Amino acid sequence: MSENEKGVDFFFEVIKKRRSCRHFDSKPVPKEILNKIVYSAHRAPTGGNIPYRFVILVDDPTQLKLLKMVSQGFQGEANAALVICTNVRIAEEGGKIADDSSHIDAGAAAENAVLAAYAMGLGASFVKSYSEAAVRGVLNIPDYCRTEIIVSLGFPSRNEPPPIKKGKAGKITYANFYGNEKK
Amino acid sequence: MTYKDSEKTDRLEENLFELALFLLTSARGCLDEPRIYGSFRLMDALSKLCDVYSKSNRLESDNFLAQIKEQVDRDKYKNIQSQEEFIKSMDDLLVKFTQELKRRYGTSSNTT
Repeated sequence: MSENEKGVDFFFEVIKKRRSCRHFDSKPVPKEILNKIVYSAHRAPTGGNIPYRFVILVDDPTQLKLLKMVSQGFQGEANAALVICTNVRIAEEGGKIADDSSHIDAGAAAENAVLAAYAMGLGASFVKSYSEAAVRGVLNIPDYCRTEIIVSLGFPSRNEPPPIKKGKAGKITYANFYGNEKK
Repeated sequence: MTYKDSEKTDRLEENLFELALFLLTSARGCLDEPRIYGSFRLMDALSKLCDVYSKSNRLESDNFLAQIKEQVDRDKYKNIQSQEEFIKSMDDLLVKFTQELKRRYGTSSNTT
């Protein structure tokens, strides 16, 4: 198997094995790993290449504790978090489409971060249940910026079981036209 | 004095403060989150409340609540996978609580 094929295999393995991690080890995450995760988040696209997205890496234990306290959906004792935000002033300069895209682009950054985390042996989870007002207060985020999503990060303390597949409400893949079943 | 500076080993006030804030953020979140999350947050709050007992030297340890916490922590994520299982676990906890309630109030042997 060529190096390229090995790389492709590893890439799909990471995608396949990713789970929302809710049980973390207390082992701190090295700074180099966190920096690579931040880099991965920034590598995600933004609409029109407009620089409206920024991230806040929270790894100070007290700041992290406060962030968890105002994020009811933050599960487990993660050792760090990445808060992905939009500078609304900059986004609005790009018109409605840029403002709309900022939500999607935050998701893209979050997914990049999560996949990078898994590739380096970490666990991670999206956290969307939090108090926007309180998170802004804890992190001193100005009122012209918006928090989009938080990614919890840490070494997993156990293998998360694969999710039980819920019944699909309908087809999720069509070919070329809506309703055209993919062969 | 802040919690950060405090040298107290018993963090009763700090843990209660955290629980109070968790209840508030959850209450606010319930307006925007899926309905089932309301039950999940309350189960999570129950787990945190049980924790308050075990982490404090000033409160008498409560074995019943410690056992309840184990079950809550084991089953609270079931809401994501199977709502039925999640509800079943809550009902099971309620049966245990009712038995304990009757034992604590001395009505276990009463018949009507």
